[in-house]
Amino acid sequence: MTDGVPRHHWRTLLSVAAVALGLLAVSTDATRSAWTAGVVGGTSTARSGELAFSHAYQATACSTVRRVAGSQACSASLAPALGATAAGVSAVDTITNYGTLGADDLKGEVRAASCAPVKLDNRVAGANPLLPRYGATFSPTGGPMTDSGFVTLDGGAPGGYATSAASSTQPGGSLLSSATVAGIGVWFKAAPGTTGPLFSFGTSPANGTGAADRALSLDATGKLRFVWNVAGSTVTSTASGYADGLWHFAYVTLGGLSVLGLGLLPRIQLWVDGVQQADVTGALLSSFSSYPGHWHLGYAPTSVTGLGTAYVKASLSNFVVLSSGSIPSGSTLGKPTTQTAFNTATSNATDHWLLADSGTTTFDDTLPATMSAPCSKVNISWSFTGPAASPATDTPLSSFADNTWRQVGAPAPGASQVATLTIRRGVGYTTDLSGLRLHVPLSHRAQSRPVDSAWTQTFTWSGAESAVIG
Amino acid sequence: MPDQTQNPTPHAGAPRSRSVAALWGSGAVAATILVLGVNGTLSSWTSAVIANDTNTVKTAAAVILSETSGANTCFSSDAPTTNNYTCTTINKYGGTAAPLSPGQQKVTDITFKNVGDANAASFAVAPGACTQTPEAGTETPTVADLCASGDLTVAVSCTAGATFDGVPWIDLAYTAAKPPTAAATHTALVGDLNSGAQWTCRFTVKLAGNASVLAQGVTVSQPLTWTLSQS
Repeated sequence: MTDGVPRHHWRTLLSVAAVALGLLAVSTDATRSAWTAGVVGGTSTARSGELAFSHAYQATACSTVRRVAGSQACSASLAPALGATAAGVSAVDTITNYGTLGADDLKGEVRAASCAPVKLDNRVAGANPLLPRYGATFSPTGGPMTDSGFVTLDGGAPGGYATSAASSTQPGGSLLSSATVAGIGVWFKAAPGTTGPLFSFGTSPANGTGAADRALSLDATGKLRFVWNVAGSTVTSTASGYADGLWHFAYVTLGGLSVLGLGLLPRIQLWVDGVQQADVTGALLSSFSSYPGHWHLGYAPTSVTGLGTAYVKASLSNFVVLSSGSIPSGSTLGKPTTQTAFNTATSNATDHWLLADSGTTTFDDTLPATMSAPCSKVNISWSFTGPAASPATDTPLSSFADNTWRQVGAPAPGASQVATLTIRRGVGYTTDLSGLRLHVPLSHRAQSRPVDSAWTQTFTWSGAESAVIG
Repeated sequence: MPDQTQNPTPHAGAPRSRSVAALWGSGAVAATILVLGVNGTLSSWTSAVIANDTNTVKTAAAVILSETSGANTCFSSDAPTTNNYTCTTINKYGGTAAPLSPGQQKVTDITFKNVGDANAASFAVAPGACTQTPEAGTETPTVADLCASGDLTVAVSCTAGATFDGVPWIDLAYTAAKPPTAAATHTALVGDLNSGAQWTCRFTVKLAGNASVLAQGVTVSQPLTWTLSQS
């Protein structure tokens, strides 16, 4: 038969047969594998959570992002801007979880680290700092001289001011000699139109009633007026327009002038920027008042100044009091350009408040009796909803501010927890505590559960502006 | 002539009686033939018939793998021509709905079954490449590599039966470590992969308690292929 079939036909047949066998083998193998092995595949996934929170309070926000841990310093304050009242003042904070960790996977806590009144340090008498009250901001740098700072008072009602912690008695009466026995100076910067007191001395540890004098004020024309005794005797600068937005150094010296046959008469000299603006001798039988009292920066009773406000909106620096030893004249003191030069020129100062503080340093020494233990007389309530918690319920700040974390829970992803912080006058509160700035660093911490991990975000309000106003 | 109709005699009527009997007999024979013809006795003479009413054929036994997690079950035979099915309803790593926090773990039990008729000789898993979203090293702050860092660990352990209970297999197991890359095979033991047998694998996916904060918000994905074989 082979002879009967052409050779190329045989090749074609063999090729077809080979292909057929191949297909058969492949199909058989595939069929067999499908029967002898069952296969199930699929992709599995896992996701790690995200920790991210935000706070919204008093038109301010403080937030964190995912993959960041540690402490977040927040501006402004969780505490009410107003001072404590008997009924209490409150501020609301909205805490939002915009991460993905569920409420059960989170631990929320709050803490108050400590409580103490803020101080403005006294360079030469550490036990007698100024204690700022109400609205004040603090600038450790940028003052009128190189390396100087300043504080800015808000001129509110009540406005920011500061009082010396210790009582002192200023020289006066028959103690004055013919020499200059006292000098009082302060740098100030006020916008045009500003009126108000730069400093005064009075019996009240705060802004209460009582004797007051030695009050230097800006009047409506921008002149400086100095009330030098409780009788209201006044000296006014020759020049005006010191409320001009520029730094000026006002300096008053008190002394006596021996008038032959008439004895000693009070002598008051007023200097601005090293230039004498007034040199006045008191009337016969008039004298400087002398009584125990406290220095007030940025405050004087309107009954003393005759102004429409007891407070001033101004920046102040280097409040200095010299009441012993050699007292430099205003011309000698001049207008120093550096803090060092100023310190040298006033090295004999009795009190020297640089006013270059951060607003977060505190005073833990003795306070006047009516102001003792202020943190035990101001109460805090801190309540949360969504989830609910009450870490503090009308609790004295001295008890609550013990640096202990307190559980408050945490909201679910995308949800918010609302916190209300209330400050109220507690047992033993006196009006001498009014407006005292209490440094109470507050923190809120969000942390992953079930174990304490690096996934922690701590929001902290510890700046000067976060003070609790007593 | 006698009236035969009036006085019949036995002799005179005998021929008539025989005719009647013959008729009845012929009818009976005809009926018998008819009956025989109809019931085949006589029809078989005209046709040959073989009845074959028990024709059967049997296919070979196959192995079919199923995996079940809760209400979800996937079969390899869901892809009937290949017996190789990609299951999208069962996530062995816990999924993304409830993200992991440090120290937290997700435990998922998957029950496998040989639902075929053939006994199997081995059961194997082949991990695919681990990937993550967002990719490591991207974004700010930089995203950590969860596939490789060890912050995310996967452990797999299997036991015979419909629940995770008993002595774990030693030949198909992953101790807690970063997502696995090596395949593992369990060889049938005392019929634990036979037709109808079930076995359960427990997957433990954990985020380390000391996981980096840069490991936040990362989705890790890994294909896993499970093969039940006769040989």
